[in-house]
Amino acid sequence: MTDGTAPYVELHCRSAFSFLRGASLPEDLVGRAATLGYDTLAIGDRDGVYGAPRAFAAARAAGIRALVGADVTLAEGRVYLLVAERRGYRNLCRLLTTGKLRAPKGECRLGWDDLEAHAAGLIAFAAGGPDGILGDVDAAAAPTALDRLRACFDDGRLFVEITRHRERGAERRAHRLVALAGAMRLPLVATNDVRHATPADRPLLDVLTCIAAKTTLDAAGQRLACNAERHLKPPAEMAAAFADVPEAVRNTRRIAERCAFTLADLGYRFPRYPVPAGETPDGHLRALTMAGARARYGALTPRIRRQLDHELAVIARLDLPGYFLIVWEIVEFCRRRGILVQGRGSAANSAVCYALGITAVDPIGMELLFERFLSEERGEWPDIDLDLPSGDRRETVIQHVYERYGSRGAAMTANVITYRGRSAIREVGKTLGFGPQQVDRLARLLSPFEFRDAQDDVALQLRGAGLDPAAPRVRLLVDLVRRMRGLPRHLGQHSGGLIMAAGRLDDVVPLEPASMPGRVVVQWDKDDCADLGLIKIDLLGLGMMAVLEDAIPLVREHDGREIDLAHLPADDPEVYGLLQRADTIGVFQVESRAQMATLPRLRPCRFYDLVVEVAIIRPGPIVGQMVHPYLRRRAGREPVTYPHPALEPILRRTLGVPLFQEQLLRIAMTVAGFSGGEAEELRRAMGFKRSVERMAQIEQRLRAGMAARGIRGETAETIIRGITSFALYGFPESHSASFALLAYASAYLKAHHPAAFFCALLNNWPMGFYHPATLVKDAERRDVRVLPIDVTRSGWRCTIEDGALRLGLRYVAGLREETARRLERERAAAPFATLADLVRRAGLREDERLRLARAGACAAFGTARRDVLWQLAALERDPDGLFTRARAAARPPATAPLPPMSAIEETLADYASTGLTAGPHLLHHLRPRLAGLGVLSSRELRAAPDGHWVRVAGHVIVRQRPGTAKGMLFLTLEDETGTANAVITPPTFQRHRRILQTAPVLVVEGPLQRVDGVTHVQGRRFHAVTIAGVAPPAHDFH
Amino acid sequence: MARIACLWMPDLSLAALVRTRPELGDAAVAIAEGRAPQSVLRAVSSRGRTAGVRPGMTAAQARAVWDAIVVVPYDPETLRAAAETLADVAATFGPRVEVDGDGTVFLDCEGSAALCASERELATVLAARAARHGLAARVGVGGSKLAARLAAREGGGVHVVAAAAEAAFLAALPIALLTPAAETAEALASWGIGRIGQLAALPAGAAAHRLGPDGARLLRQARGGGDDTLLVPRAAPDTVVEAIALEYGVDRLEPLLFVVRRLLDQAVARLALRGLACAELAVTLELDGGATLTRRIVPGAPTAETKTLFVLVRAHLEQHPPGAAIVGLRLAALTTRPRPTQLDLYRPNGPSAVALASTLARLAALCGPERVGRPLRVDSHRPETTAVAAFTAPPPASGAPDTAAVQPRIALRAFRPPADLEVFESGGRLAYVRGRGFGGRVVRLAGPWRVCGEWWTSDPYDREYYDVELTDGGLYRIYRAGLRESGDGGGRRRWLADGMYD
Repeated sequence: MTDGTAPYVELHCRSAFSFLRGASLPEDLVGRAATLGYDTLAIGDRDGVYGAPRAFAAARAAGIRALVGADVTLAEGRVYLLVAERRGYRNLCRLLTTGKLRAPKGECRLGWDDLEAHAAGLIAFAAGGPDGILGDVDAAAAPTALDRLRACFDDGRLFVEITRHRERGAERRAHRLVALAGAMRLPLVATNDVRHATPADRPLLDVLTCIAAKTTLDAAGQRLACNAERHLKPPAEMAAAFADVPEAVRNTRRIAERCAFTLADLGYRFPRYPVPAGETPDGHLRALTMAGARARYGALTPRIRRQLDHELAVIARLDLPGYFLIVWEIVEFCRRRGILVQGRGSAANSAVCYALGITAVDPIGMELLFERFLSEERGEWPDIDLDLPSGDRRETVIQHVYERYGSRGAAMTANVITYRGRSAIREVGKTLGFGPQQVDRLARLLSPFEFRDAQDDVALQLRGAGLDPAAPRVRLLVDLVRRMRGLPRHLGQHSGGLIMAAGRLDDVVPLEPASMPGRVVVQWDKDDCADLGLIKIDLLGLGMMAVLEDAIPLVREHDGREIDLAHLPADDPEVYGLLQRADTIGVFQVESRAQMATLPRLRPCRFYDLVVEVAIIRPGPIVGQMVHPYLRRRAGREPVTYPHPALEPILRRTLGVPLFQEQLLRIAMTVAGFSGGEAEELRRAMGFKRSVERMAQIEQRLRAGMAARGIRGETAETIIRGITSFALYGFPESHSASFALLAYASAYLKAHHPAAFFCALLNNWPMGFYHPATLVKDAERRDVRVLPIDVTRSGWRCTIEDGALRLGLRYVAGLREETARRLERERAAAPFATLADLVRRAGLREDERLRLARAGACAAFGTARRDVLWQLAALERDPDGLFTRARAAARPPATAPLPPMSAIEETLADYASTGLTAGPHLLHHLRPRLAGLGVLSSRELRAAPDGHWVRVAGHVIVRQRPGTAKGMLFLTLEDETGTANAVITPPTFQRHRRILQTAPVLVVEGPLQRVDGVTHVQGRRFHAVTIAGVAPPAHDFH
Repeated sequence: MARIACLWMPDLSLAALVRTRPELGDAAVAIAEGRAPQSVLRAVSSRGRTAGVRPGMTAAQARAVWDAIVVVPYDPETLRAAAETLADVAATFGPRVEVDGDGTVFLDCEGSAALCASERELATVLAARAARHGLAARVGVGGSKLAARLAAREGGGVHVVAAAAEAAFLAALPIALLTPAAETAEALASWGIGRIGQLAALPAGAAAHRLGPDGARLLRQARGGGDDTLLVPRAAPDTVVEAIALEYGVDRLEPLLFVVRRLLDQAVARLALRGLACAELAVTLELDGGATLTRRIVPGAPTAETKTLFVLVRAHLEQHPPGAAIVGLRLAALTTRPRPTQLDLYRPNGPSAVALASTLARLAALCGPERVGRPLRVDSHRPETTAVAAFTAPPPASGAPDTAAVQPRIALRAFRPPADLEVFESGGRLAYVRGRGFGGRVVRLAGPWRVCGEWWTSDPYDREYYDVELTDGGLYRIYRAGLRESGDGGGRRRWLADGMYD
């Protein structure tokens, strides 16, 4: 080429987003292409444009053009389609959507009609080979297929694709393709049908091929590529390889020049909100905001007005009023339906969001930074996350959005599941022929915190799995696993991210069916969507929202109080007393063992302390070693200092210790001179799954920036450590504030309306950290009278009855909801006179009768549990006779000739049939035996002196061995007086591993340690307490 | 009065496993049922229990508790073989033998005084014979199957319950020993009734009314009633089956043959108990991945010799590698009465069919199975890879020969092993090639064709093939081998001649 451009352009590359059919990430392909001197590269994945956004972003950074294509599956074979213009992109997206939505998940089903209807703006390549539409080329079908394709892709948009991979057999096919193209007067195009960026990536492709074929490398045979030629080659080498057909090379350049489309021209528009006639979106938003602000704040002070005006002006300049109105509409929909909703994330920084009722945290009172949410400099869409009650109510909101914007106008964002350490080890191990047990063992041994895996750790883990790290196959395993990490594995559904578009979303991105019926997902994950300016609204399910929603009417009905979550008393002493005592079982976000161990040391006494508490027990602050300095400073045992004087304004509120993402951004801007854009990049790297590499680059820039400002040595290292440790697990302050609000609300309910609170918790379980058995006992410790399940009183759900908590029939294991609902209806019509009356009218199945009887739910009929069982057994064998008698007289039945249940048998029967008990705690029955052994109750433990050797026993309700605790095991034991904590060192754990992992009831012996009001036993000796029965399971984390 | 002997194994599935794999006798071992990862342990050895592993755990839980536990998949065939062996042992004392569903074996020993001095001696001999076949069975004798069974279970090794002591013997025992149906057991447990004596004390009519037919049976048994002395005679199967399930895949022949030998020993010992011989042996291989392969091996004549059968199986396996690791093996010997053979007066004596089969098998074993048979294409890109398939006699010619026109095709006469070459280049192109017995200037050339693979093995290949026409008139396939194949530390890649085109 005379202008210096390469004669050859690679127009056919499959990336790893072809899911097991390509071995390189789009970024690696683009990077390699740039190195080889390409100015244009086309990436076309299999039945999708999954890798296109990442290829586009990488290409933009590398200064080359990324064209968009896709290998499309027809029944007769594959056709490669390349986007020439925007209309073609729209057609490709619609075509793929059509094929995906009519096929089972993971497949694509298209016919010639579909291709014909969506051919405009696209260029087609027809290839031979096992997958190609032209097959083995010799067959009569090949000319027919070309004729059909030519009918779809007229105007010279159809090319016969030839490849040369230095395969002896394929060369014959290439010759036949050239002859066929000549005979049919069709132009040729040369490609390398690339599957990996470099020759060195070929082993990875072989492994992926084996995974797709569910076989091993040894057995894969000719399913593997025969050589490593399917990599990106220098343009000159490709031109030389096709020297005998120069027009095939020249056509690559012609096609590349004909393809004007890149993802920069996506054509995405956010839907317009229909404002009332005569209104503008801007004016409508202002009116709603001001009305909302007056309702929220009462009088609008100049400061509030100034802030609102500022935010509204920024929103108007960015042309975002429509976006806020649409989010507001969703919130209003929730309000109309009585569904609690609360915004979280950076939206909590916005006073407009607060005024519109989108968020519940007052950003002005909290001094939160609006620019963290929305900035003109960044020029990107804001991100609003809405928390909704989990379950059906959240689904109602999602379906509302689908209805409002059309089934092809809205979709969930995808979640690209990548190979992580464990999944990579399992898959690679299998393909290399390791036994399932070895692979299992190795995968289990792998640390869950992968970013900490140093090379020597891997060797240690391999030895632990019984493998020799020096063995060649093992070395291959390690190498391949390392290279495989981060490659896409399959497409999942994001937990709540919803994308909407004006018009059809499938003009912008192909849609696919999700696993969940009624849901569709786009082919891109949330980061890709964000990169391309697609606006996402997260609708996230939160169990605690459901609890609050359920508790409020219970409080209204039974305590006569109206709870407004937006106007709870701000500094309620009982709430802070509860938090300081770590009496937080069931309280949102602060109920974990680690949180409970921190609360008495942090001693929260105002809302901001709770914001800190929510954020501090996270891997970020823990790994960054921020927790203890903060607590020491708060307790006055350490002076408040700052790594650098310039950081004082940023870190003052957190006593010089960085705890929040926002602080780290401001630190980077202050000490390293990061621009707003760079800080934003840092923020995205923090919340980004692929951030390890990104963070490494950012770290270099941080060092350079600090060095330029004279910050070096330990100071620089402290700052870097703080920032990088937050990279994967940092928590934003605004997010923490939103969570703290829910934590406060749940603590408030627990402190003031415990019956309603626990009732709602039990009705929304499973959620939170603890088993219902623990919740019930905690309720009792707060003087809530818990009434047992009773067929004459209980509903399906738990209820409040004369101030007491009545357990619901939902806790009778195996009882169907429809039966319980029928029982409720029949009882409402007329009380049950006898057991037989109950059985008949409620239509109880035999197993359901027994389950109710064993749960003690029939006690109201005046007989002991075994007497009921005796009666029911007779009823089962002779229903007519007994019914007759029942109708004749409701006389009390004769006592059964069975031994009565002992108290402990009743408790165990409760656990076995309901998983919980309203009667005495299991340890209550064991207390005399335990007292004889010198075992203290958890209440007595609180009075025991520090350092004394003690014994404590309990039902193990938490068993936790977090990766951040260097192998320490934490146990929480529950007895009839409360809970006790034990800490076990790694050597002790290894010695007593079996009993510690399996015993449901345990005696722990060791010295008592009391620090800052936190008491725990340093476990040294352990004894399992044997009970012939079922105890509820522990909440285990390993 | 009826007298029944019962042979009972405390945990037959474990005993059956140890019978086929004695090396696991002292190990912490568990038998898991179901597909991983949901497989659940159904039996755990005492060593495993000591380590904290319990039946009902998942295999993963068991390994978390004791990572050295050997988890073996449950194999009903192994279990059945053990039960049949017990029955064969019992049948040496009399024909009226019954095998219960759980593998317990009953023997009608009424009138056994003719064979042994006492019932105790009879029980002792039965226990000793079972032990010789790898099964440490407990033996009980009582007036009914129930009493005999419970005597075997509760009596330790050998226990004889006298007729007068049966009621007292039963009362203290747990109800579970009466094997109530799950529903009945659940009902009784919820009633707080745990011992046979407690059950016997319930009002019979009311309790039976509530518990149904199974409860009525239990009540009858608890009160020492019921007539369960009638034995259902056992129909001895016409095959002797021995099987083993492995917790790991065996992918090499030697360890597999070790297992084969052991199974054959057991099968032949059982044939001896019955006084029969093997007419046909079906070898079923369960492959890793779920597939199974069954091969039938017919000795030339019925045999009861381990050695003969072993040689045949070995040869068969060598000639037909299964293609995947073996996770289970089953041998089914079709039994027949041994027959004396009559020689043919009018034909010369040849080797017997058994001897011939054995000889062929030994030949294959001696030369290596890869050298006996017919070549077979292998699913691999490595050009020289071939395999040998089992040699089968060509089918008899049928019909007229195929006279259709055959397209002339070029054929490669492969050099094995490939021959070293000297290659001279000029201007970066191949110019002159010299091999043993041929050579010349390159007239025309096609290639390179690249093949590389098996990078995960110790013998990877990475080659560039060319077709060259030389001035000597020959057309050759040559290649340049990769560095590792060339074995040259100096970084020089070898040239080799792969063959010559006819």
